[in-house]
Parts: sequence; C-alpha cells; structure tokens
Amino acid sequence: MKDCTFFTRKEILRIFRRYRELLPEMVPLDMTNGETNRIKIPFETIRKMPELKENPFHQRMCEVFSEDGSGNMSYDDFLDMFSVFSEAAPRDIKTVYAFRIYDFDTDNYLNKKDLEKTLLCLTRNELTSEEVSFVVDKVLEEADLDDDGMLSFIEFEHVISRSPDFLNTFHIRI
Amino acid sequence: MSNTRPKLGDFKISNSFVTKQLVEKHGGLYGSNRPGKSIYNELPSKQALRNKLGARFTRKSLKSNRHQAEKKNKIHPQENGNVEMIPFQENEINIFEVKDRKTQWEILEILKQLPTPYSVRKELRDKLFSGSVKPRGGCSRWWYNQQLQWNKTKIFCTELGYKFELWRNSFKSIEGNQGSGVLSYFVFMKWLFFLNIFIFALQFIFILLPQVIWPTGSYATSVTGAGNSLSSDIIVNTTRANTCSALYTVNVTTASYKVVQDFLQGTGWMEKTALFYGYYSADALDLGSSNEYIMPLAYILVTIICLLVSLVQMTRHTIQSFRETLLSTSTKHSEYGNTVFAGWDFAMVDEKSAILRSKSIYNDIVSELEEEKYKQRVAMRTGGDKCKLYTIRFLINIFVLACLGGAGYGIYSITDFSASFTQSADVTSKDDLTVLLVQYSPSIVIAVLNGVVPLVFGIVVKGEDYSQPMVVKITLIRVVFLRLASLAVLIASIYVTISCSTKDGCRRGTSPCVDIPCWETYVGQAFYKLVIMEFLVEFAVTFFYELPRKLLTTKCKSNFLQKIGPAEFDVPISVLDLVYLQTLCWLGFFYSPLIPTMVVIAVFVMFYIKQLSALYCTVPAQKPYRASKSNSFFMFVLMIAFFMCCVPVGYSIYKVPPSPSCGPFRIYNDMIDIIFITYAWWPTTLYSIVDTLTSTAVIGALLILLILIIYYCSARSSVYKEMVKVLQEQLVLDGKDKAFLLARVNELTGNKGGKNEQRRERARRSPPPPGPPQLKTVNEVTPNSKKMNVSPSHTSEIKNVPPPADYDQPLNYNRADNISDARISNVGFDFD
Repeated sequence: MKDCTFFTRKEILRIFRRYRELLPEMVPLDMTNGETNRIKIPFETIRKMPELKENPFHQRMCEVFSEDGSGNMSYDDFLDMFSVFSEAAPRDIKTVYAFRIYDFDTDNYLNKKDLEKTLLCLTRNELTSEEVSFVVDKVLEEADLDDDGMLSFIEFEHVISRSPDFLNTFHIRI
Repeated sequence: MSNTRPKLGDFKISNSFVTKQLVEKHGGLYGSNRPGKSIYNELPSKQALRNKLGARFTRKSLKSNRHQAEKKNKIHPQENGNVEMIPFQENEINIFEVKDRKTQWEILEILKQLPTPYSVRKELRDKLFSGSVKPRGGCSRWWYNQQLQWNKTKIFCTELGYKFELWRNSFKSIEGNQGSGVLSYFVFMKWLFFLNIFIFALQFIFILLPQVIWPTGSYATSVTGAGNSLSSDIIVNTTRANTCSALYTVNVTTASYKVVQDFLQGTGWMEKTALFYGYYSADALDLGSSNEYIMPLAYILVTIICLLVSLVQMTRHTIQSFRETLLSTSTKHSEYGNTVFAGWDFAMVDEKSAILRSKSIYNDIVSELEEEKYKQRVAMRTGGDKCKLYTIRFLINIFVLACLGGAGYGIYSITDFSASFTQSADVTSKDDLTVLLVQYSPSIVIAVLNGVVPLVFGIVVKGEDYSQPMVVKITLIRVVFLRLASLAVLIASIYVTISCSTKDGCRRGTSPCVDIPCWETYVGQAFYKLVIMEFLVEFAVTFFYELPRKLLTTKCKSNFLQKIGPAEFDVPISVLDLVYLQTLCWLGFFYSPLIPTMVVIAVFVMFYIKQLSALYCTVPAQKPYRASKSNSFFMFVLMIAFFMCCVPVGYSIYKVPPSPSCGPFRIYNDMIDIIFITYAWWPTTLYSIVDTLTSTAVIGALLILLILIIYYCSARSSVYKEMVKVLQEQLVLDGKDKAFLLARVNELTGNKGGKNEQRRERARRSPPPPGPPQLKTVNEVTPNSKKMNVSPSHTSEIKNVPPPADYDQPLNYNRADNISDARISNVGFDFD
C-alpha cells in the first residue's frame, strides 16, 4: 500500500466521511487528486468538531496543519492532522508538530511569551501572573540547556523524551 | 519567520553534513555577500525543526563513511524561498532515479515521517514510484514477493482486528469523558480479560472436554507406573483410592431454596460437578483404538502452562511501561515540563470534563507550588521537630501494623469458626440463612475490611506530614499490603484446617479435626465464594452508592448536597480490585477449573458496570490519575500477587498429600508424582538427559551464570547513568560556547572575509574548553597573547586583527540588564 500516512485504508475512508460531514455541500462524494488539495473547509466549521471543540489549542492546530497557515483545512491537511495524532504515529513526528503548535509566534523557538500563552490556554486564565511566571521560569530552568532564555527544538525534544505522559495525551481517537 | 511550507521540486537526497559543507564549499555564506541574513539560521539546531530527520541522519553519517552513507539514500528536504538552505550539490542522489523496488519501500517509510504537509509528501511519493523499476533477479525477486505478501497479510489482519476490536466505541467515549488516566484502567481490564480467556480456553479444551466426552478407563500403567523400574520408588495406592472414593458421598436435597443456597455456597449438588477438582478422574481416559488421555498429567501441565503464560504476558507488558518509568527516574525528571507540554489530554471531548481537566492542571501547578513550600518547610525543621515527627511516624506505622494484625486475626478466627460450624453435628437443625451467612462470613469479613480499613489509612496518614505524592504512594502501598495479607491469612487458616493431625485411613479428619472428605474441593469452594462476593461488591458499590449519590447531588437543590458532589472515579482502588480478582483466579483455578470461566464472565459484566459508572455516575478525580506513572506500579503489584499465588499452588502440588477420595491425583502421595511416572516411561536416553539436566549441579551452574549476567547488566546501567550526567554537563557548556561564538561572529560580520575563514577553521578544529566563559577574563586578556586556541577567554590573538573598539565593554546586545554572574547566557539573540 503506497500510502504516506499512518492510517490503514479503512481508517482513511472513515476520516473522509467525517470530513464530508462537516460541510457536505462543499465536499463532493468523489474527490479527484487535485480537489483534495484545493477544496478547503473554513476554520470556523472545523473548530465545531467534537474532537476539537473543547481543545484550547484548536486554533493553533488548524493553523499548523493547514498549508497556508490560515486555519482553513483541505482534506489533505485534515488527514495529515489526524494521522499525526493517531496511535501509530511515532514519537518523533508528534514532537515536531507539538513544537509547532506551542510556538505561537512561529519563530521556531519557544520563548517566554509562547510558554505563557500555553499556560493560559491550559488553565483557562485561572492562574495569577506571578504563578504563571513562576512556572515558566521553572520550565526554562529544567529544559533550557544552553541558557538562552528560550527552548529550541532540540531542547523541547529532550523534555518530551523524558516526559512519560506525552504519548498518552498527544493522541486523538477518531 | 512565517509558516510557509516548502514547495516541491527542491527535494533532493544528500548525505553530507551541513556545517562541513557550508564551511568547505560555500565560503561566502557567513560573510558579506549575504547581507541581512545571519548564520544563526543555518545552525543545525535551528535547521533541526525543518529537517527533523535530516539532522538525525546527518548526525549518524558522521559514523559511517561516505560510501556507506551514499547507499542509505537519506532524504534532506529544503525550503525553496529560503536562501539560507544550501543547495546540496555534493554527492546527491536524486530520488527520482531510484530503481530498486525495495529501496522505494524503504524511502516510503522515511517519507511517512517527514514533517511536511500531506500534499507535498503525496507528490514525492508519486514521483518516487513513477520511475521505471528494473526487474530483480530470480531469487531476490521471489524473496521480495514473499515479504510483500507477508506485509499484505499483516495489514489485512490488523484491519480485521480493528473490525472486531472489542469495546472500541466505549473506549472513545470514556476517554472523551474522563481522560486517558481512567482509560488506562479499562485498557488494563481488557488485557486481563484476554488473559483469562486464554486460561479458560486451555482448561476447557484440555481438562473439561476430555473428562466429559470420553469414558473413564482403568488405572493404566501410564498412570500408576507399575512395572517400570525407574519409578518403583513412587508409592501408588489404587485400592485405597477406590474405597475412599466410594465412601465420599454428598447429601443432595432438591428443595428449591436449598438449590439456590447450594449454588451460592458451592456445596450440595454443586460439589460433585465439573466446577470443582473432585469431579475429575485419576485414570487414563479411553480415547478408543488403544489411545489414552492421561488426565492427571493434563491437569498438572495445564496449570503449569497457564502460570507460565501469565508470567510471560505480564513481563512483556511490564517491560513496555518500565522503559518510560526508568527514563523518567534515572535522569532528572522534568515535572513542570511534563505538566505544561503533556498536561492537556487531546482526546477530551466533553465540555464539563474539559473544564475539570483544566482545573486539575491548575491544581497540579498549585500543588507543585505547595511542594516547593513544603520543601522549604522541611528544610526549616529543627532537631526537636524532627524528633517529634519521627516518633509520630513510627507510632502510626505501628498502628497500621496493628490494624493489619487485627484484620488478619479476625479473618483467621472467622474462617476457623465457619469451618467448624458447617461440619458440626447439629448443622441441620440450624436455619438455612444462618448457614449461608456463616459460610460466606470469611468473604464478607474480607470485603468489609477491604472497604473500611483504607479509609482509616487515609485519615491516619494526614498526621505524618508527607508531601502529597508521597501520601498517595504510602496509602496505596498500605492498601496493597492489606489485600494481599488478608488473602494470605485466609489461605493459611484454610491450610491449618486441612492439615489437622488426627486423620483416619482416608485422610479425613476425625474429631477434634473437621471432617473434610475432599480438601481440594473445600479450597475451591472458598475461592468460589470469594469470587462471587467480589463481583457482588462491585455491583453493589456502583448501583447502591454511586448511582444514588449522583442522582441526589444533581437532582436535589440542596446546597450541602451540591457541595459534596457526585463520587469521583477512583482509579487506583479500581485497579487494585481488578488485581485482587485476578489473584483469586490464579489461586483458585487449580482447585476449581471453572473459576477462570467465572472470572471471564465477571470481568465482561464488570466492564459494562464500570462503564456506566465512568460515563454517568462519577466525575473525573480532582487529581487526575497519571496513566504512565502508576502503570508499572500496578503491573508490579500484579507480579507480586502472581508470585504470592505460585507459593500455595506450588506447595500444595509438591508437599500436601492429595485426598484419596477425589480428584485426578487420588492414587498418589504427592501430586507431582505423575510427572516422575510419566517421564520414567520415556526412552532411556531421554530419561537420562532429563535426569542430568534437573540435577542440582546443572541447576546450580545455571543460577551462578544468571547472577553473573544480572551483575554485568546492572554495572552497565550505572555506567550509562554516569555518561548521561557527563553528557548533560557537556551540553550546557557547548550551548554557552555556541552563544559566545555566535556573538563574536556576528559582531565581526561585515569585516574582511579572511578573518572569518580563520575563525571558522579554528572553530571547527578546536574542542570547546571546559569551564564557563568568563566575561571578566575576556576583558583582561592582552592583545599580544601568543596562544592559538580559540577559546572564549582568548579571542584576541586572531592574527592581524586589532580587537574592536568596544572590546572592553561587556557583550551587550539586546537585553542589557541581565548580565549576572558574569554569564553570557542572558544575551539575547534577536536576529531577523
């Protein structure tokens, strides 16, 4: 099978059905090769999916996986996203995409602002600012090996490799 | 830097190491012909995000020589619009020219893991497979086809497995509702379910079916070992077995109430059914055409195989989760990193659960802050405080031990009472309900103790002033102790009852001992009652406690009830319940071959009961159960329980004489004798081989070898730990050196190119020096120093270059305020 996702054929069909359910009038039943890339479902529709609705990172996820960075996803992007979040995807590729998701200002580094935004998303703005800065400092203290005040991808990968929960939580069932 | 995706057309494969190429071939990169862009973006660590695999492969290529690396066809993607990405023209292999079908598949595997969008990968894949492939020679082509077929069948089997995957939808809704911690409990339940199905299948096929289908033969020589000189020292008493079996009668009353009672107790009409050990015959069953099926041998072999398979499965499962635990405990565990980056469960779907999840992350962080305060409090403890605390802890531990001892004594006396009551002379005059209650009393007492004593432990542990994770661990350990200890005491008291000294010819107790005609059935009945009790308790807790509590707290409008809220799904206690049930299964399946069937049905029904509880009756716990952290702990507890089960079963096989009135071993003095008799019948060479292999010398030698291997492995692992520490320190220093060198390079960019060449050469050649770079030493070094090493403290001896005008100033770039401890670390790098 010449597929380049981590899914089996049946799962790909199932995901296509879910994609079509989001906006049936825009998505034809039978998509040729060019159309899978061209037809894009807007972000506002996708964020209402039950799997993404409650996720505080859904906007970043759609932006990271959509080809133009806008959040509107074609079927290819959609498939790609769930392929990375599936159980079969290895830790390496999940780490890459996790880094991109947490990188809010897309500078390929997780600086303090990115970490603060991550924390606020996680706790839905419940922490006080000094608690936030305390946690951010702790994270940098643990993870920032070359002491430049931000996490590069290598450092992030190092943290994730020592994180036992990452594979369990970075996973969406569909 | 925008999130532009790489375009197709620029994907080429290369094996060259990034910086080496940069330095050797493309000299103008660092210098003035690239204004505005800095070398910072060409650093491998910065590139590693885009070429995740490229970086990994280029690191690997340092080891293998160039020739080898060429063969490996590594992919190195590049970005089109980005000028920093160097077109790799050296030693390139174009993927469009790959001719070999096998390497095509290999490249496809690598392609799957590229962090690029799907459309790009799809086009790459199409181009990869579009070229013509030269046909392979005969033998390799056949082998390749075999592999292809095998892959296809594997995929087909996995897809089939997905169709029949048990409880898939349930898992999804549970995970969405309660999170992955609770899901791990259900996954564990499913694993136990399949393990028990396997045990059940083995017993059904090899023990139950033959006994039911084929008629009993006589005590053949394969069973008695008569006439074989090698087994002549094994005593076999067939006459006693015959007489005692005839004497073994059970009163069966057919009153309807009695039928139900007997069903619950395992006595009466249930006693001589296939449920218990006593049903099975000791003969060689007649298969027709002079084949025979040796029942005792089958019985013992099935037991041993079931235990072995359980052990193997548990070990495999433990190894998988052990690696994670080992990784997180051997290196410095990053609590905060784990919470922030892996804290959110992406599978959560339900709104309320999501709110609860974020609350629990918040609680996590707050509790970690409290940990810090706790540590400070501990550090500030005075000597007197410590003394007081340790005495309190000691007393509390004594109290816990006293609780356990009291529980043990209670179980022992109740079991004794129950046994003597049931066998006493005036039992028929007592009320049926009383008899039922007394029969069930050990199980009831154990259930009550298992429910009440953990609550006591929870209250008592507060006085010990431990940190929160420690509290959880200590309470769990104590509860585990309680459960295992109560089972151990029960087994011990049963053993005391059946090994009473005054016995008659048929090994039945005469007064004052309790008369038990068939002790194996008696033990089987005890475990049968325990399994039924456990199942009833689970049922009762869900339907009579959690469901009403949920209904009351959500429907009634009282403030007090709202504050209490519905029950929380307590994962550790539920997992301990499962472990307990599995322990009962392992203990009981030798004496009651249908207990695995019961456990299978119980687990299946319990799944749906617990699913109801998880989805409707309970809410996620305040402190969410971290699946990874305790997964190995529960496997560890399961292993301990397993070895605890092996002891009574093994002891009863080896040492306890079987009862002559019933069961497959009634003619022997020890159950293990059948094994000796069987291989005494083997051809002499085989017999002598087995004999030498099981002799003490060989076993002793194997043991010593095993100890040596363990010692070697532990020595190696401690060496690795040291290496990790050294490498971590090296990493920190390398990072600081990199920061320093980049600062200097960027400061000096725009000057003559020749100086950059020299600097690059030196940077490539010399190793980074140990010790943190000191700003002060930079300021103190004279320009005329003759040393040639490029080290942070000796930068000014670069030839022909006067130090820049601001050499004496501290290296201030963007964050001028944070130069503390003379470290360069706080210089910001905001290029681009």
